[in-house]
Order: sequence, then structure tokens, then C-alpha cells
Amino acid sequence: MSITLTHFIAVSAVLFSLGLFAILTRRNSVTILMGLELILNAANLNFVAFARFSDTPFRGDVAVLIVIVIAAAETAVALAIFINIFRNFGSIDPNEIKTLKE
Amino acid sequence: MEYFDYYFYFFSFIVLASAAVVVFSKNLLYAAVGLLTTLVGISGLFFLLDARFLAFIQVLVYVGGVLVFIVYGIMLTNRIRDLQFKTEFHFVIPALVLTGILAGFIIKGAMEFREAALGKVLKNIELNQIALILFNDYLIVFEILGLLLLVILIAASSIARK
Repeated sequence: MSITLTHFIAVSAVLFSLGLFAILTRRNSVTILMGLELILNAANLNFVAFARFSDTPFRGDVAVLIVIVIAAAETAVALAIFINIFRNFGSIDPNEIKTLKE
Repeated sequence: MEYFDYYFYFFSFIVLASAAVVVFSKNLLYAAVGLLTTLVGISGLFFLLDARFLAFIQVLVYVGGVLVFIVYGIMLTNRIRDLQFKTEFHFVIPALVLTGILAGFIIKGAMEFREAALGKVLKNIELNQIALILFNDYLIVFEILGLLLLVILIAASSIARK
């Protein structure tokens, strides 16, 4: 097959960059969370790809399982916090939440 | 091995195009749907890498759990007024075509089903290997993850409650 590890890493790198761009530019906290999910998925893809092309092909799967569990937990807590912020500020734009700074 | 390449480019295109929708779409719900197709595409890439278990878990946890969470978050933290709940039918012909193609594939697969194929799947060692590594080398990590999930469950519900 002509698809090599490099192809998977390239897809993962572009996915990571898109996620980072979303985190840096979007002005809605939920979209920032989505960018975070994109980055975690890029990392997962790297884990599986590197593991499959190496001598120990199943170690990467365990790491991906752990990452998926932690991503789900992080999403749950983040959304609970967003709902509270929305209750207090009426918006989840991260630029408007700056009472700690003043 | 030609098919592998085609599938790889197909799933990569799905992943990257819908990730671009997530990043550049102005409408939050479109972004959520883009995230859905991104995650399904990643699951397809896992299939290509022979990581069937992870592909299942990806669809189960991400598409079934995390994405529903995110859509709830969008609904609860934005005042969506222009969302209309229409119940008319549209796209009937393309839907019929797509459904017919999918049904054809399923029926074709069912006709070609043999007991031998099932035996080959059941002897798959991937799941055994993952279980051995997870419960031998990473047992402590596994237990800590269980504890973490319990703590997160309680914490998230207590934070979100008024």
C-alpha cells in the first residue's frame, strides 16, 4: 500500500492546526471547546497511527482510550461551567468575562 | 491495495472538510454538525488503521455522548430565536436514492454472509491485546479513570445546579 505513516501524520497536523485556529479566533466558548476536541482527535489519530506502524501495535490504543475518557469528563465540566457563566454574565464570550481583572 | 488509498483519501477529505466547517462556520449548530462528521471520519480512519474497537468507542462516546453534550450547551447558552421546527418533507428523491444504495449494500453483505467469516472476526486478537495491556500494565490508571469519572459526574451536576 502506498499510504504511509506520513499521510496520517499530515492529516493529523492539519486537523491540529484547524483546532488551534478555532481556539485562538472564535469568540464563543462552546466553539473553543469544539476546537479542543479537534486537537484531542488529532492527537488520538497520531497515537493509533504511530502504534500501528511500530513494534508494539496495541499500546497506542490504550492511550487513546484514556484520552477519550478524559475528553468526555472535561467536556462535561466545561459545559457545566459555561452554563453558570451564562447565568451570571448573560454571555459566554470570553472577552466579556473579565471581572477578575478589574 | 488500491482500495485502501481511496478510502484513506475519502475519510481524510471528510475529516478535514468538516473540521473547516467547525472552524469557519458562523452558525453554531452547523459547527456542531461539522464536528459530528469530523468525529465519524476519524472513526473511519481508525477502521483503516485496523483499530476496530477504538472506532466503535469513538462513535459511542464522542458522537453519542460528547456531541449531544455540546449541542445542549449551545441550546442552553445562546438565545436561539430563528430556529424553526418544520415538519415538512424535502429532499425526498436524494434520500430515497441514498437509502436504496445503503440497503443494497446491507442486503449484498447479508447474502454473502458465511459462518467462516464470523469465525474469522471472533478470533480477532486486537481486543485481547488491548485488554491484556490495560489490565496488566495500566491497571492503576484504569482505576483512577473510574474514580475520575465518578468525581466528574458529581462535580458537573453540582456545578450546573443552581
